[in-house]
Amino acid sequence: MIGSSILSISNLSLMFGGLKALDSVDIDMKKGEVLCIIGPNGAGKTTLFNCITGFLRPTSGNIVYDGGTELTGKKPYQIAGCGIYRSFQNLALFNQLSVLENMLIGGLKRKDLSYGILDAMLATPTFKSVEARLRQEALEILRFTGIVEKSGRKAGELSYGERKLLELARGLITKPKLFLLDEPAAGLNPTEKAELVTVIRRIREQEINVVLIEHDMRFVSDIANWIVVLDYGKKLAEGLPDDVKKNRAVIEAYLGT
Amino acid sequence: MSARAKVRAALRSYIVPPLWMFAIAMPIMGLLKSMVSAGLLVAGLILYRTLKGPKSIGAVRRGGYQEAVARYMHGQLPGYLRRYGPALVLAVSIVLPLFMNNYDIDVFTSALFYTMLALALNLLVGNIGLLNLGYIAFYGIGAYTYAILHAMLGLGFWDAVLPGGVMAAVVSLVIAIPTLRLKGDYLAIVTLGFGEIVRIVFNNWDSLTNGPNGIMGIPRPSLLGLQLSTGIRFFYLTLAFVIVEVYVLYRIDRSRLGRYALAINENEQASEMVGINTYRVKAIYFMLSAFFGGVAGVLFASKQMFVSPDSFTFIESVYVLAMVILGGMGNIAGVIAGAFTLVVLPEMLREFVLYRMLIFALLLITMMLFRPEGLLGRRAYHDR
Repeated sequence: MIGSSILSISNLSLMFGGLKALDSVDIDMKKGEVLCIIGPNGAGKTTLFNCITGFLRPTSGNIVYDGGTELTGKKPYQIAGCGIYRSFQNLALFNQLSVLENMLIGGLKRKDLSYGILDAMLATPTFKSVEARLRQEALEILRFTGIVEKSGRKAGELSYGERKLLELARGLITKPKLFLLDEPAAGLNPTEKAELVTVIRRIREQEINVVLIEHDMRFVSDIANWIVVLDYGKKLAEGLPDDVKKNRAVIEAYLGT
Repeated sequence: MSARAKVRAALRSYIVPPLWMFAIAMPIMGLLKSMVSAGLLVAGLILYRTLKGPKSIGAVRRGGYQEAVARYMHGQLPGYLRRYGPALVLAVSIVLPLFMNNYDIDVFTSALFYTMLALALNLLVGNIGLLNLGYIAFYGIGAYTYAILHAMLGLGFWDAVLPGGVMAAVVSLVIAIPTLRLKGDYLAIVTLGFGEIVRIVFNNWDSLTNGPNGIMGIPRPSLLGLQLSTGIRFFYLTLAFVIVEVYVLYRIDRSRLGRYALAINENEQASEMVGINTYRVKAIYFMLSAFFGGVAGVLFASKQMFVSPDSFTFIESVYVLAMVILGGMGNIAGVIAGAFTLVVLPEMLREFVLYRMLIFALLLITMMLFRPEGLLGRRAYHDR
């Protein structure tokens, strides 16, 4: 599997007025990798995610997805339509809706689970079977992430860890090719972190490419096989987890000189 | 909360609202009537609590998560009421007019008109969360489209139904395209202005709309050679329109489009992230809502046999919005109840005509205090 690129970012820069939030960043992610982006606060990690998913428009540079699709200039929903899903640091769930409804909404754009206007108006067998399949798949994924018992509860009533799992589950039902996770482990206790590692590993097994932003180095070395370090919007270093941990520049950026 | 505090809170919830109601009603309705209505409120509260069904936690303990989901989602009303309720309401509304006098039928028909409007406005306000304060403009555009098509081309009612709706939808798109990036209050202000502009155009475009004098001589519809001119026949025609509208809206609610709206109403950013083109869905909802308003307008013109700008003032928009809010945003049954309450109640209170607006205001304030989610609450919390 490892070989061609799923995501290649070249010379990406973003200016906020006079501030360079991202400064000529190059990242090349091969298919099958779990890429982890680390860096001190304000290094531009989330900004990078915002550029990839279309919430911010980069000042210059290119983001090419899956060997040819140019992502810069596309709107968030179009990028999502290409098969990229992103979780937010501060979560973006439908809090007043049930866990199951959150999942059903996640599955709305699936091409293999669609029906026409007439099907919807007349509640035809096609409509019913698609709805049933969607529901079944939603429950399966919820089971897989371990929150199926909560499927009738409002998303906003779940614990923080459960909500993070729900955001992952909702991502899975969109069947993404590229899964961006913004600090998935932040604020979780050790047990929840262990659960999360299992879920991410399983996501990997489904041949979904994973990029994550993380601070917790132990968590990172558990799952990542390539690390990019950002600092002041620049790429400071990249490499295998063990090499990056020993890199002098990285240690300085984190601990100060 | 301690057990004692719980009991106290529960008792308070049965006693305080009826006391309020009594205090409000006393000076207007007199001692006896207001005591009776306070008593009715207590009975209603008890009935409501009983019907609400078991809470989800208890259900989880009894029957596992799947049943819990089912129960929680259908928990607002017991199954038989959900299943047979609509048929019952329909049967009553078909049979009841046979025993009513012409005046009552007229009130009933007018309630159906407002039901059509409130349901269509609910698409915007309740389902997707866009506030429209100039909604009545689409009603007016539908009515005028029929009037003008008849005056100029001699088109009859059935030929004008679709053009009326489509015309309203097209005009709505003109306003929707530049304004849908606005949110909340800003959108409300723009739509308010739009509603006024449309009315002023009706008032001043003399060559087309005949200005403040309006257009007369609009024919009543006929169906298969049967003139639908009497009150009761027109009532059944209106009822048929309402049924079609309710069916379409019900299906939309339960289809993908309805889920898009639900998602956008709840969290726009998250909707974009799962791939929903929020701008497009909003525009579609704007057009759908306007379309139904326009169709209702065609029907309205044929009932009045006359259109003039006076029928489409700002206060009418507010009135329709109040029905949506009173009945319960996003809840089809609730909105119907809201429309009927606000049309029928003032008729019943005719003897207190001086106090009508006062009672109306108090009713809305009381609702906001005790039941901000509306009579039947925000959409039933079911799977869709």
